[in-house]
Amino acid sequence: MTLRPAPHIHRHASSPYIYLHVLVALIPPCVAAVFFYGVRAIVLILWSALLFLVSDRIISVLLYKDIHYYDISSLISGIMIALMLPANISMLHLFVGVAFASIFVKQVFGGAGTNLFNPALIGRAFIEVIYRVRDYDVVLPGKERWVIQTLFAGSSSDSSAYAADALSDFTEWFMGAVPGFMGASAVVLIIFGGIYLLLNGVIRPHEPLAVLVTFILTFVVFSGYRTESVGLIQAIAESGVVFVAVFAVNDYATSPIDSRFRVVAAFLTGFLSAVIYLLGQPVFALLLPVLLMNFLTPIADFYTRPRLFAQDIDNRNPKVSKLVETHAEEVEP
Amino acid sequence: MNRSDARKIVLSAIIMVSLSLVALIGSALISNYSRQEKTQNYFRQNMGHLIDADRFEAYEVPEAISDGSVSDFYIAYDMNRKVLGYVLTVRISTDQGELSSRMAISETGDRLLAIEVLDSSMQSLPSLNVMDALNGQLQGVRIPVALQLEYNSEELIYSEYPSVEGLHDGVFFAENDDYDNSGYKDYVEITVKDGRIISVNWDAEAKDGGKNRAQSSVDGEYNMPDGQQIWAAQSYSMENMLVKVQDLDKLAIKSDGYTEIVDGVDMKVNVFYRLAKECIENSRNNVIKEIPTEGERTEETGTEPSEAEELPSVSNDAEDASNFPGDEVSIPSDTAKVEIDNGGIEDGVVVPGEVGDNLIESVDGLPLSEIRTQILGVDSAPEFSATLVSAVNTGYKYIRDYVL
Repeated sequence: MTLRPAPHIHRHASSPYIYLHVLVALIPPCVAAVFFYGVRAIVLILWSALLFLVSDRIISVLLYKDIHYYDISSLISGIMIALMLPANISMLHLFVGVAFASIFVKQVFGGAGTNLFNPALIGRAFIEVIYRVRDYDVVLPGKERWVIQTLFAGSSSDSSAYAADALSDFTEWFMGAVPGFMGASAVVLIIFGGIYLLLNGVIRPHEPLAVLVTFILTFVVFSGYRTESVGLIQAIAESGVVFVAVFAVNDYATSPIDSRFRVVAAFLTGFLSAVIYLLGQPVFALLLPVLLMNFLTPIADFYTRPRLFAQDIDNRNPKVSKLVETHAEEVEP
Repeated sequence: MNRSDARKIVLSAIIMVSLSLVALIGSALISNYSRQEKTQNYFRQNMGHLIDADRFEAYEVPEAISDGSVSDFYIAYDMNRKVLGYVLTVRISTDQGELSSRMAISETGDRLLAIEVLDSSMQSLPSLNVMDALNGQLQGVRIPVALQLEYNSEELIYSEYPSVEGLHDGVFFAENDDYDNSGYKDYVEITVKDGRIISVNWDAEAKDGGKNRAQSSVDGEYNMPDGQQIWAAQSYSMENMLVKVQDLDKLAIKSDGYTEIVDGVDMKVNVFYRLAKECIENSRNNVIKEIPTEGERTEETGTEPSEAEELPSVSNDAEDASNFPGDEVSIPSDTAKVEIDNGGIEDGVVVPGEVGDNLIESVDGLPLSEIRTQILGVDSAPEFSATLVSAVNTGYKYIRDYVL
């Protein structure tokens, strides 16, 4: 045990406790995924989460000889990857994405809390790179929900899936009842999760709000003729920006330690999300901005390293240093 | 983390699941109604000009049965949920390219209400005027349809046998004087064009005003002796053979009323011979007999036909032809469209190969006897006209085979 001088701050929350809260917050989008995509969603989410857990455990035993490794964040990353995929994705592709995220993004960097990038987002991006998610992977929500056959053959391809977008109203867009991600589009349900995290003190409201406000403003300013309300709502749902705002921007391991920089990173994330979305790349609007911010995090952390108490006090505040000097003179005999 | 923390987490999870379900089910209920309304508005916008319906219901078209040519199928309903008709999108591929059209067909499946071209990648895309002209010719006609030039085409007309000399063009009709023992009165209609017999129809009307004999036999209500084909098939064979050989005498009908040279015909055909002969005589003399409409036929009591029914020496002008009371029939050459009522012999009753492969058999796989209307088409765009006609016939076949 390392002994450190005072002051000491003690919070009730431990890492597993916080991760459990995040897991609970992920329940609403998972329920949405199952509600819309049925048995396939259940299997994909469980497969992804368990795979991540097993992979993390195996790698930690092999690399670090840590036979007691037990990490709920693996489950969270696995579930997040599944929620960001369409329902017709094959289990093999999911396996490759999860394995890559677990081995090369998380464990190689030292496991939970030491990873440079958000493993879930990298895993999803990796799947997109090795296997471009095609139109026929996107299925109409509610179609063949409970047909066991779809586990093996996927839902029947549906060219009308995209045509149906035009008919979707804002209720459906907000609930995620539109072709696309299984759970990352379910705006209202993700907000439920976000409120839960806020109430339990797991995240702060600043960053999610910063992401959303910037996204909306940027979209409205740059979209020009596309400012009609459904267009904006569609953009918010389709880009998955709310999912990112709630579950990725506040990630303890990959976001800047300094709260001011975290807000700046959130602003940049929202801005870039909107720009990339307007360029016609909804999937990358979801992934790239956060990964870019993850990349900049070590740099931000380097310049905002917390100093030891009273260290270099002269340089920090001239008034204080003057006071210290005066005090020192008074003390001298 | 202690026990109370664990309890709190589990309780939170249960609350989250319940809340999510309530939100999802609630929104599904809300959006379901608005989606239906929106969908109907969308349908009305896209198809309302073809058929003025209150609601459209989409049905899936299995690819296996339509070869991918029929891509969308809707049933149109009025306010009282009565079927008004069907709307189909038909895609026809030819050497020239593809033509996608949407058409509305009546609920009986035998009349084209309206048609529009959705998309065409044909090399010789015609002007809007051509499309309008074709739409005008097709709108409201009975289907299936053929282009007149298809009748003239060498490949469709079997020309090995010479035509009989002295035939005048037109539609000629003859019927029995009385109902036979089985309660039917036979009639024959012969269509002559360019001096050749191009279409023959032999059928018999029922005394009680019910189904014609061909239809009854198809439905299994009029039976032939064991080992014989149904009546409709045999009459169809006779009709086609006459079209093929042109001359009644070549059918070799013996004095006992049987023929040996027409495959599949084992019944007595002397009635056909007599009535067809009368039609041919009428054609020779250019006597066009007024063809009774269905209603008039059933009203007749089977007494001797009066001489007044005959219209001797009516000239073959289009003007006269268009004034015929039975306006389903007119002279093909001078009118934009001609409707031919052949009494509705079902396709599929006769295998075309049975009566000789070279016979004029089909337009778009439909026997000529089933063609109800000829249109002129547009001379400047023959390929386009033919493709559009094919699309109409494809729609007709789909409805006939899989809907009705």
